[in-house]
Amino acid sequence: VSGTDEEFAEYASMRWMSLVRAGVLLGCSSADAEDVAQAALLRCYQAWDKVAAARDRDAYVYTVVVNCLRDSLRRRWRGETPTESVPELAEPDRTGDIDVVDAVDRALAGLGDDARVAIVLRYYAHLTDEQAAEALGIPLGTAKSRIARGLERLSADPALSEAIRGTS
Amino acid sequence: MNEREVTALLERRAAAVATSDPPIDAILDAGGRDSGGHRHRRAFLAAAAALMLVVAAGVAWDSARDESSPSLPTDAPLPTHEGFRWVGMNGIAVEVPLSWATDAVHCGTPLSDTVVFPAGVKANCGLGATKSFSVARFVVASTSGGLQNVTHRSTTIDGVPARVGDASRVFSTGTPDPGNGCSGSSLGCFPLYGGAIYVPSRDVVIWVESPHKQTVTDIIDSARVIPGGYVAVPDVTGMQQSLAADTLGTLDLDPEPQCPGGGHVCDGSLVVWRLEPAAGTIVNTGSRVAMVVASEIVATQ
Repeated sequence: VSGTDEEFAEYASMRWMSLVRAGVLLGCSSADAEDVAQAALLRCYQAWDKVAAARDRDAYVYTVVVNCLRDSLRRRWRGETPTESVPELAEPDRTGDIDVVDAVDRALAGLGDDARVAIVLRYYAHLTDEQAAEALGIPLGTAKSRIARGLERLSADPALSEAIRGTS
Repeated sequence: MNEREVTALLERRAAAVATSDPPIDAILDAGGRDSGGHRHRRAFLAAAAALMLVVAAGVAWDSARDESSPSLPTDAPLPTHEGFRWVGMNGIAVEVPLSWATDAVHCGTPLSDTVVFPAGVKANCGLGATKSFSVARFVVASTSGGLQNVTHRSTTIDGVPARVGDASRVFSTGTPDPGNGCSGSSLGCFPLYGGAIYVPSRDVVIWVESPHKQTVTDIIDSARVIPGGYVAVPDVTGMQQSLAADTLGTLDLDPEPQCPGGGHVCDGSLVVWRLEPAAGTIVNTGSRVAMVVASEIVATQ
């Protein structure tokens, strides 16, 4: 019995949902997020020895996710046809929590790609500043700056403030 | 808006995303590492994952732990089975799968967590995130009332008197619905088993919950007293930085604040948001524990 297959299957099963959700937070539709997560997990499976030996397995995998997302966006841009309307950032809310979903989606979209990825890695994937910097391939100071800038912009978003008040 | 609130909002948004079953078979088939003899096992893993992600973790626990022999690394306080680690509180530790991450913000991401949180805190973050499945929950007994509502037996853990509430069914998630499969739970319908260890002299209760009864039993049976020279990192998240530093200091740990914007000297009234290593980790006494201090960013609205 291949321990690698079982170890990978267990890990992938447990992380699948959070990886897909991270993809949505990064701006993908649910379908695209699943494609990115699957592509990332496939790369991780093919290099499982490295993943298994990584000091922080999740940080390694999120790095692969970010790279897969970039690849995916590059492919999409090459074949993209401009439209007049901005496409939906994510699937419609299934929980009735429409206000929060809308507020968070709009706020994240307003951050810009760099700050958005940094914020999602830091506060959803729970990577450290150092791990986020490594995942993004940027200096630590740059990562901290993007995270701080993102936090500032989120804090200044009245819809998010309202969403927080509504949950407290 | 502070960092906790940002995390809570992201998790709440993420929770609204419905996902398909993890495509384990497709990845294994495409990955080129398949030996061809594991299809049945993989199908089982995929089915388990479809029911609930943490079920797969429970299966792995049940099988892997029996097959591996304990090793004793020179820097480990207790014999550790391959693929497992120790987590503890107040001098008592249990062994959990290495893949069960400690959730730094206690808000349910990912689902399969080893969670350490103080008494009185419910196992969700109040924003709709669901958790408490397949977790070892540590609750300080002085405020939880020990095992008041649990049938228990007396035993000892490394010579220390303890009471154990053996694994028993505590409740079920969801309601089987002939038309829709399962209603009332986005996680599926299955029974949930719980058990507990109460060590009065250490003022600690360890609650364990899992869809697998054997998982609960195994974790409870693994309980050990943390040897001298080692200590479990206490959960001081949510405390003011100065109080958190005092708490760590009394356990012979070396607290190091990591302040907003960098540096190690910051306002003692700011709140500790995260610990590195995470709460529950067993470390040598004298070890440095980084306290990531939350910045208080005031909304400009």
